[in-house]
Amino acid sequence: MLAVEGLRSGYGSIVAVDGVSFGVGAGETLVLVGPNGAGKSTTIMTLAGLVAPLGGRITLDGVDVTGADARARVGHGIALVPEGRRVFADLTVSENLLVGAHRLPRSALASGRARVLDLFPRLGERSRQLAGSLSGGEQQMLAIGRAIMSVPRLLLVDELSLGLMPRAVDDCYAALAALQRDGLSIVLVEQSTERALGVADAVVALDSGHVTWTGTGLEARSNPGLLSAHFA
Amino acid sequence: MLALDLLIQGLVQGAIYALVAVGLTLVYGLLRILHVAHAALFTLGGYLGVLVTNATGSFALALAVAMGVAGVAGIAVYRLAYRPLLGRSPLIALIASIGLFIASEEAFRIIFGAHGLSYVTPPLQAQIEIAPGISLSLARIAVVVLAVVLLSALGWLSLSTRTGVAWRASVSDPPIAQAFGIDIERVRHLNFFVGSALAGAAGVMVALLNNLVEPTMGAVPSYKALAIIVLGGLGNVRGTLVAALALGVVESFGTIYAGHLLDRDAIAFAFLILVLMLRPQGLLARS
Ligand SMILES: Nc1ncnc2c1ncn2[C@@H]1O[C@H](COP(=O)(O)OP(=O)(O)O)[C@@H](O)[C@H]1O
Ligand SMILES: [Mg+2]
Repeated sequence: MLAVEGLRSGYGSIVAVDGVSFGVGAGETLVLVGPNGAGKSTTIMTLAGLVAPLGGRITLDGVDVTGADARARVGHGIALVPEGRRVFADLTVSENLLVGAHRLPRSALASGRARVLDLFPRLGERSRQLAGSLSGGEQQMLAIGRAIMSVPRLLLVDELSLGLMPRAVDDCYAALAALQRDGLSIVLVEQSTERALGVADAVVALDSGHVTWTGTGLEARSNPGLLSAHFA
Repeated sequence: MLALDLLIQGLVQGAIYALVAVGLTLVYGLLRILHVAHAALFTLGGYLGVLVTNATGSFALALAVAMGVAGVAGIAVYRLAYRPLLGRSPLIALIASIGLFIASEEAFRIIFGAHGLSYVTPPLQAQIEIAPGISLSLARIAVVVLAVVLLSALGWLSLSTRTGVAWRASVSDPPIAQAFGIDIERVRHLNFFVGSALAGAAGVMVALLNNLVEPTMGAVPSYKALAIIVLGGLGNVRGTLVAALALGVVESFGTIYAGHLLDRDAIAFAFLILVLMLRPQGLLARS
């Protein structure tokens, strides 16, 4: 579904990701792990079109989207849950969801909202509250809900559980499982790897911008020593 | 009765400040640029108001033309002056903006003369008694009505339409807004059009109250509007409106009660300095 070949990306003269390749099948979840500064966020932001690639190819069901900007990417069915959640703090919960559906017609809003509120009933109670006033966990739910509103085929999630209370982490992983059952393809970045490996179909470990290990979720789960070797 | 009269005069002045300052705070919110040249669009509006009214006899048409042309000119300022500088330090855009503002004053002087223009037959001059002993010209009433109508329309646009929500999302986090398909370039155009049209309307109304437009008429509104948006908490529209009205009222009372010490503009700045000493984060700081 998603194919990344020899991706090179960075900021000005800084090359943060170099020669990264991986693929995600339809309905599969790929987990990207690696230490701080490994290039996980750069990879995700490049997939979302917010960091311009310096080389390599990104294709989605065979369509080359390497040169497409962020606006075009969402049209191709890519949706982003960015690191730090980055909800629109001065907008209400309901308005944040509306922005998620920006490129969809008004007629699609009700079904999108229903799907999000089904995943996160708490957002319904908070719909008129400013996103900035929500707890970290609720903001992460909103960030996921906002992404779901765009009716994506591929969901990019950067640091799902970072800084959240255990209870909120459970809620977010439960939602992720529901989205997996719906057949969504997912790229998940996590530093706390154990939880993430539990939902992984495939695992890619990054370090200093390079792939250091690739395997199935099963391999990663059954061989914890393998992964920990990749964390200095 | 004097107090009520002063309050009303202050609100009229504050309404004008609000129309000018809102555009400035909108630009700051979206681009983090101090758009000094904004006042050139205020002046442009004033000139068009007088010229079109004198040519056609219709003040309403003049107002519409002034707002439309100022709005389009605002978009041109963005495209020609700011867009090429976006990746650079905001100081560079500020310098470009100051240069543009000075150049605009000279352009008005060269094209229309140094002595300014007046309405041949000033419209809306009738006096109306709004309370016993207090009468107000139709022009002053029109200033307040126009400001309320235009700012309410802006409020409706930004709060109740998808375009407005996309606009505010773009102010809040431009890259993420783009990642959900918002065309940020369109948002910027809309932002400059709306802000500049409001400044153009303010220029028309000031030209009406003074029955005079001149090349330098933008200078005082320019620096006062800058001070107002700081007072309102840079980029905060509600704060800007409150600060504009407060400044209008303080000036109005100040000229009567402290006018022998300081002139109107000095009172305004004494007030601004005082407030910023007490509340450096602006009048309506966010939590
Ligand atoms: N906006 C940026 N500008 C310059 N360098 C950056 C920027 N963001 C990240 N980097 C650098 O790129 C490298 C990879 O960072 P990142 O992709 O954020 O890693 P991770 O998400 O795995 O922690 C780091 O060395 C980091 O310092
Ligand atoms: Mg990161």
